[in-house]
Amino acid sequence: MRIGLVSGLDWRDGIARLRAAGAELICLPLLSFAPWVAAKRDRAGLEHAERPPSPSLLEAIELADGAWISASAYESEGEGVFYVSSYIAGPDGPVSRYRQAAVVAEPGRYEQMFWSPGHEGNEVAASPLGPTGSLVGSDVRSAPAWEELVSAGARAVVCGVAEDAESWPQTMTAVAGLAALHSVIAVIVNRGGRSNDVEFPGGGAAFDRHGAEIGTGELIEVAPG
Amino acid sequence: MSRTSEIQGVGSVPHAYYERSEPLTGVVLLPSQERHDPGEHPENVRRLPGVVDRLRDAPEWDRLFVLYPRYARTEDALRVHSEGFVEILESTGADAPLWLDTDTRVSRDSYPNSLLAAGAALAAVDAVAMEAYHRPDSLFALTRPPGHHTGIDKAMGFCLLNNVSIAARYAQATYGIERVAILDWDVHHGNGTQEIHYADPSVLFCSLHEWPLYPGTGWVDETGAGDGTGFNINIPMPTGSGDVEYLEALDRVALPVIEEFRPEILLVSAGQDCHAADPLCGQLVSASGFKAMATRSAELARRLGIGLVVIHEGGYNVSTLPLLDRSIVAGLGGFEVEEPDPFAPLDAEPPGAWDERLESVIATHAPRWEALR
Ligand SMILES: [Zn+2]
Repeated sequence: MRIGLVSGLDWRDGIARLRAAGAELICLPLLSFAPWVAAKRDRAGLEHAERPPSPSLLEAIELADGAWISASAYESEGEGVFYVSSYIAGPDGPVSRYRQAAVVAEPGRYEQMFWSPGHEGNEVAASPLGPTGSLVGSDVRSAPAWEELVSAGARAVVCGVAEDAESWPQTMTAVAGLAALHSVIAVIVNRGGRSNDVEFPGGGAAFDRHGAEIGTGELIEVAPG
Repeated sequence: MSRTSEIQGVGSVPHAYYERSEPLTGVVLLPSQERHDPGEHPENVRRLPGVVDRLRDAPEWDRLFVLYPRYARTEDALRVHSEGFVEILESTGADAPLWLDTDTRVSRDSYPNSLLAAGAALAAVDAVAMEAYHRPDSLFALTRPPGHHTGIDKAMGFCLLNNVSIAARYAQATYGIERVAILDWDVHHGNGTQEIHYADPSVLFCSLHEWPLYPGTGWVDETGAGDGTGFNINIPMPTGSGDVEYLEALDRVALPVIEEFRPEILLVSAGQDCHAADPLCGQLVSASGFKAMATRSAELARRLGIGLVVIHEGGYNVSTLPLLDRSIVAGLGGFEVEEPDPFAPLDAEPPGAWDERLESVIATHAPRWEALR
């Protein structure tokens, strides 16, 4: 099967292009539909949150035109309650949802100001890639987060991140290692383009059950897990 | 079982304090706080467990006085609230989950938990007010739901019982205390506390709050009524106020007036929603700002030779609240906090209109309080 990876800011064009190229699962990076609000300590960024289920996600499902989507939306459950929700969605709508649990606070990366840690646990969806779980942000480097998905039956894990040029190679290495440790397929996609004065390098890859790279770039052929 | 109920050494005095020269502070922990569960809500069950975990992991944990609350009795609530209102709260369990106003939601066990929260404040009053050899100088009651928006007969703004007012009246009824001072630094105006004590010269209420903001009250000219005129001091802080402005408000108005009032106990409504990363406000106070406010409160109580009870109000960023509450404990006990606050603003512009606001507060209250002249 073909997996499409959308790194760039123009997710609408990216989804349509990759669907036309035959992608059956299209993966988007962390905070797929919003600007990189976490770059600055400015509460105006909170305004970008959407009420769940995110209308942008529903639009992405439409655009995917029968393909599956893995994407993370910036959502608000009401005044003062914010999450990053990672969805795996089929042609008929979202199939699984979990909310980023490890939320970062460091200079230049103020995620904790904009969203709370998820507390609902993770879920596995029957996607074209097999039983599939998703992880986003710092959760992709969290061994317990992988263990939770694998013990729930996941045979593939799709990861969406927003890493800068320095941390992106380390994150890919960590994901390849965790894929090998748990003997699952892993797909990772990084945020690309410039948002809120931060430059993201984009990129993505798929790893097999031994952690070996299957392919990179925006369209990758993968045997389901 | 909640993590707080596993804690050992409840109510014990740390051995190091049998011959102490340093301040003794501590916390009142609320077991089963998750019984008040408004669901996906800013005031949720995840706020306090992270705070308790952070304190347990901190080096100062072994030096803290730790105790558990008892339930407040109905008669404690009735010193503050109307009978009809307490009956309504009592009855909510049967119909829960239930919205009491547009943002105050109760679950089945919210009312008993709010009695326990008020009881935490009362336990703290007991500990600091009783004539006991190992009397702590201050205690921080880690309570939820908060209380300062609830007036005589109306729950609002996430609050059920007004914990700080119940503590104030309990102290007066139980320990022969005449004068109680309440300092409120929650980002929202403590409209409930103001309403309860508005005509009462025995309770000095001083509130620092972002203005304009929910609930809309708290302007400078709300100074009290009847004999209570001059005993209600509102300091409306402009949006964007940070450590500098909050400490100036304490140093130039709140603390000198409280000192002149000569209270016999000092209560603090500590809401950490004025922090720079709180999602519900526009203020910029940092963790070290909270520590400094707690330090100043503790120093004042020490100078006056009175007990200090800090009662938790707001603070809605689950990720940052543990550092902020730990910083308050550090301020009370004179501990170091080695963790930096990643959200401390480095380059904040001074908020507009602050000097004028402060001068108008001083001008309004100078006739009654010599300390402001
Ligand atoms: Zn508040």
